[in-house]
Amino acid sequence: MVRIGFEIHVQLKTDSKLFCSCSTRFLDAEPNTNVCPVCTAQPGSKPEGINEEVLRKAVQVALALNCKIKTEPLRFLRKHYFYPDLPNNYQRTSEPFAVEGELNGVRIREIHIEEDPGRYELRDGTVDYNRAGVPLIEIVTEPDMHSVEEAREFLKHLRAVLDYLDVILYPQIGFRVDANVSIEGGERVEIKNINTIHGVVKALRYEISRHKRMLQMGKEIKRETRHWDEVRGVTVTLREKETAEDYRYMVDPDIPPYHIDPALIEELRAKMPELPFQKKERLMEQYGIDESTAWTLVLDKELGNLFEALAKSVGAKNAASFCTNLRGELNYRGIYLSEVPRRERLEKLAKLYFSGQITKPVYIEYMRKILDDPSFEPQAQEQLSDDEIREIARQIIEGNAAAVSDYKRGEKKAINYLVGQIVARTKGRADPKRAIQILREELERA
Amino acid sequence: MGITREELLHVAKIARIELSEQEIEELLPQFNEILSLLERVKSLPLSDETTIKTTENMDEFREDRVAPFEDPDAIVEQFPRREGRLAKVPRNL
Amino acid sequence: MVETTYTEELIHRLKTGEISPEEHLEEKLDTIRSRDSELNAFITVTEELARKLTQKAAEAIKEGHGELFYGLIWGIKDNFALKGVRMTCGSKMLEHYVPPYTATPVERILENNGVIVGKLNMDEFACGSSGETSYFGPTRNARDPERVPGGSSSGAGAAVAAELVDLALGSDTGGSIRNPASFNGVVGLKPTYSLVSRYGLADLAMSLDVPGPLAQDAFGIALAMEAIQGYDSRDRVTAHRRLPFLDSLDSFDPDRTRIGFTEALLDGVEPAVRKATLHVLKFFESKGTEIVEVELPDIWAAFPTYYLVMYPEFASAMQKFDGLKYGHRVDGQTLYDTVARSRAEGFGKEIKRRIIMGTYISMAEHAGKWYTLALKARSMIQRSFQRALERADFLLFPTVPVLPFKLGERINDPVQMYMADALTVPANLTGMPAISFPGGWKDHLPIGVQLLGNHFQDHFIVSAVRFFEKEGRPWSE
Ligand SMILES: [Mg+2]
Ligand SMILES: [Zn+2]
Repeated sequence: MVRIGFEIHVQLKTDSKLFCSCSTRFLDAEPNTNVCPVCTAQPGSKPEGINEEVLRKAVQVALALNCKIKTEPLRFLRKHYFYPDLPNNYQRTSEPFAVEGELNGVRIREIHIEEDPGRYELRDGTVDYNRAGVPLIEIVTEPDMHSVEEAREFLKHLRAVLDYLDVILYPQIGFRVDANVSIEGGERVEIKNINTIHGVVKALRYEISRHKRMLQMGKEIKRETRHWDEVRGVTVTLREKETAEDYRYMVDPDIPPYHIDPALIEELRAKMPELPFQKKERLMEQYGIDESTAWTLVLDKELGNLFEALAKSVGAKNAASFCTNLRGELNYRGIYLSEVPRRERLEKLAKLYFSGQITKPVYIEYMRKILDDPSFEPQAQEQLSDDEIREIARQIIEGNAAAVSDYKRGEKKAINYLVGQIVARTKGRADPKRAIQILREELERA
Repeated sequence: MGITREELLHVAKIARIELSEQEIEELLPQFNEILSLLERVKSLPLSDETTIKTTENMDEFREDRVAPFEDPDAIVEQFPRREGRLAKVPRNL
Repeated sequence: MVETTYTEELIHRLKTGEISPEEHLEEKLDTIRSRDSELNAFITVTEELARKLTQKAAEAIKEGHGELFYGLIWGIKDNFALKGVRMTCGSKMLEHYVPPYTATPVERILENNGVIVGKLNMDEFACGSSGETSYFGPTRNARDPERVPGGSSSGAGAAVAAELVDLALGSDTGGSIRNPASFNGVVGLKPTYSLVSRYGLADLAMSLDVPGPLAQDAFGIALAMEAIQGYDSRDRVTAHRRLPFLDSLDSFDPDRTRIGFTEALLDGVEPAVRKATLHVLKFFESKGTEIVEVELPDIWAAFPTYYLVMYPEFASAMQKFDGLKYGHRVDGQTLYDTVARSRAEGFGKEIKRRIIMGTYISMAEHAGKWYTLALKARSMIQRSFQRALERADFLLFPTVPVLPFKLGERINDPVQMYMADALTVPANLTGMPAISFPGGWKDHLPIGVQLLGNHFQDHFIVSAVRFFEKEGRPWSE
C-alpha cells in the first residue's frame, strides 16, 4: 500500500514581513533592497513583533481546513541550522496553532507559522535577503493519500481553498511541497521542495516506481531525504537519517507569547468567504450542472468566476461547455486561469462563438491563441463583401436547381437550405442576414 | 560522567567551530569541570514549574504596514565579498 | 553630609553656562589623551562626532532646552550599535563591522543632548568578569593599573572612574555593569529586565541582557535612566512603564524602609568585603531602617543555574556570525570550511568555550536533562527572592566576593573566574533591579555594595544609594 503525506509551505499575502516592516515583494525588487537590520540579522537587532495580518491569514486557513485552533499561549521557537540563506542561522518557527483538520478526506495534522529564508543561488554562490522574513505557514498532513491521483486531487483542492481565501503572496509561485512517501515493506522517504503540483505528481510517480523496483530487486528502502531534480526528472539523495541535523529547538526569548483571541476566531469565521465545496453545491443547484462539471469549474477560482459571468450572457449550458474546453487547454499548459493576462478576451471569445460570429474550429484556434499570446485579440471573422457573397449566391443557385424551384413554387423554407449552403461555403465569413437579402435578390432574377 | 574527545569534536562540528589540537587538549578538562559544577543543580528540590515571566507584553501585535529601512546600502556594504548587490558566499554544488 | 555630588554639580555648571559644553569636551579629550594609553578603556574615540554633538548641545542650551544631559560626555560600551561608527563587541569577528543603524538607548542619549565621545572596551561579546578577554587588549583598573577593572563593561567602569567620561552605557547579563562599577569604585545599575530596550545591543543571553548606566553617583544614574528607560516597539519585551528616577531621588525615608539581609550572602566573601558590607548595613540601621533576616537557602544554586541558562542562549545568539553577511571571513574550499574557519579565527577562547558548552547543553539528547533543569531551577530562585522581598524592600549584600585581582591571575581558570559572578547573577535570573555603589575602600581598592530591589523598584534603590552618598561614608581600612 502506498502512503503519501505532505508538508506544504505557503507564502502569505501580507504587505510587510513577519518580524519587520520590510516589504514582502521580493520578486520584482532589486537584490537586497527590501532588507533591514532585523531580516539580515545585524548584531543587536530584535524581532519587531508578530505581524497581525499573518495571524489573521493563518487562522483563516486553519478554519477553512476545519482545524481546531489552540487557545493556550503560542510561542516561537528557534530552529538552528547553518545555511547561507538563513541570516540568523536559525529559523523562527511557531508551535502548531491549529491541529486535527481535514480536507478532501485527508487529515491535517497541524499548521504553524514560520519565516522564509532568503534566496541562495547554489551554483553562483550568491545570496539575496529580500525574501528573508517573508511569512509562511506550513500545513502538515497525515500520510492519508494512497495514490498519486489522490495526492494530486488533494493538492488541487488545497490550492483552490487558498485561492478562495486570497492568502497566497504570489499566485504564480503558489506553494512549495515536501512530499513523504512509503510503500508496504519500505521506509519513509521525504522529497524536499517541489514547486508545482505537476512536479509533485511526477516526483511521486518516479519515487513510487523506484521503491517498487528496489523491493523487487530485494533491496532495502532506507529512510532518507531526497531532492527532486525537475530538469532530469529524477529524485536524488540529499541526506540520510544518520546525518540528520540537530536543530536544538529553543523558545525565542525575544518574542513574547500570544494567545489567539477567541473573538478573532469568531470574527474570521463569520467573514469566511464561499469555499470551493460550497460553491460547487451552489453551482449545481443554481445552474443545474452535474457534480463533476461543477468541481471542474470551482477548483480554479477564476474559472468558476468566468463561468458565472458567462452564464448570464450565453446561458449556463454554453458557459459550462466553454469553461470545460478552457480547463482542458489550461491543464495542457499546467496553469491556472489567474495566470492568463487580459482574461476579458475569453468572455469576448465566448460571445463571438455562441452568437455564431465564429465557427467552432476558429473558436478553438482562438482559445489557444489567447492562452499563448498575450497580445492576441479575438475578432469576428472578416466578412465577405456584397459582391463576393453575390458571386457565391449565384453559384449556389446554379448548383441547387431543386431547392430553387421549390422556392419559386412558394416553399419559402427552401431559402434556409440555400443560406446554409452559403454559410458552409464561406466558412462563416458571410453575415447570414446579408446573405439572405442577397440570395432573395438573386432568386428573383433567376 | 564527562565527555569524550569524540563527543567534543562532534559538538564543535555542530557549532561550526574548527578546533586546534591545543584547544581540544585545553577544553576537555575544563568542559568536564564546568559540567560537574552544573551537575550540582540536580540536587535541588525542584518543582515542575518552568514558567519564567520576562515580559508583561502578551498578545501585542504589529500592524501590517511597510516602513522601508532607510539605508539598505549600509547593509550591502558590510558583505565581506560582494557581487553587485548580492552577498558572495561559497557555492554548494 | 555631602551637599552636592559630582554629576549634579557638573550639570549645574553646564546649565548655567559656568562651563560650556565645548570646554567640557576639550577637557575630557585631554584626559582621554593623557590616560587612555594606560587604561585602554576606549576601542574607538569619536572625536569629530563628539564635537558635532557638543555644538548641538550648546545651541540647545542657548535656546533653553538642553535637557537632560546639557552636553554631558558619554562613553558607550562597544556592543551597542551607533550608525556609521564601528562596533566591535571587543572581538576580532567584528573588528571592521560598521552597523547600519543605531541602538535605541543610544538614540535616546543623543535625543537628550548627550555627547558620545567613543566606544568603550569590553570583554569579548561581554563574556568575562575581568576585562581581559577583549581582542583589543585588556582594560586596566582606574584605581590600580596592575589590577583588572572587572567586566564585562570594563571600559565603562574604568572610563567613568578615571573621569574620561561623565556617564557610560553598559550592559549587564550576569553582573557586567555592577562588577566593573564595584572594581573601579563607581555606581552601576542593572535595571529591571524589560525596563530598557535592548534594540541594538548585541545579544549575550536574551532572557538576561539589560542595558544600564554607570556614573560617579546616584544622580548620574537617575539622569541616565530618565533618558534610556521605557517602551520601544523594536524590542517587544520592553515594559510600558517609566519610573520616576529624578522625582523620587531625594525621597528615601530610612524610617519606613526594611532591608533584607542574610549571612548566606556573605558566605565565602573576603574579610574586607564583608566588613564594608556590614558597615553600610549598620549605617542604614543607625538611620532608623529596620533590618530583616531573610532566607535564601538555595542562593548557591544561582551561579550554576545562571550558566545553564546563559550557555544555550549564547550559543543560539552567536549562530549568526558566519563570515558571510558581515564580520571576519576566512575563505575555505567549502561552505562548511568557510563558516567553521571564520568562526575559529574570529572568536576568542572564552567565546568558543561558551558556544561549545551551550551547543552541547541544548542538543536534543541533553536538552531535556539540562535546559529544562535550568528553567526549573531559575523559577525556584525567582520564587525564593520574591519571598524574601515580601518581607523587605530591598536586599543588601556585596557586589563581588573579592577585591580587584591582578591581571592574568585567574584568566586561565574559567571556574574561578565565573565565581566572581556568584553574587551578581541572582538579579539577572530574577529580572530584578540591582545597583552597586562604593561601600568601602581597602587601601586604594574600592569595594562595591549591592542593593537588590523588587521588579520596577529601580528608582527606589537608586534613592537609597543617594541617601548613603549624602548621609553616609564608605568604610575604609
Ligand atoms: Mg518548515
Ligand atoms: Zn526587514
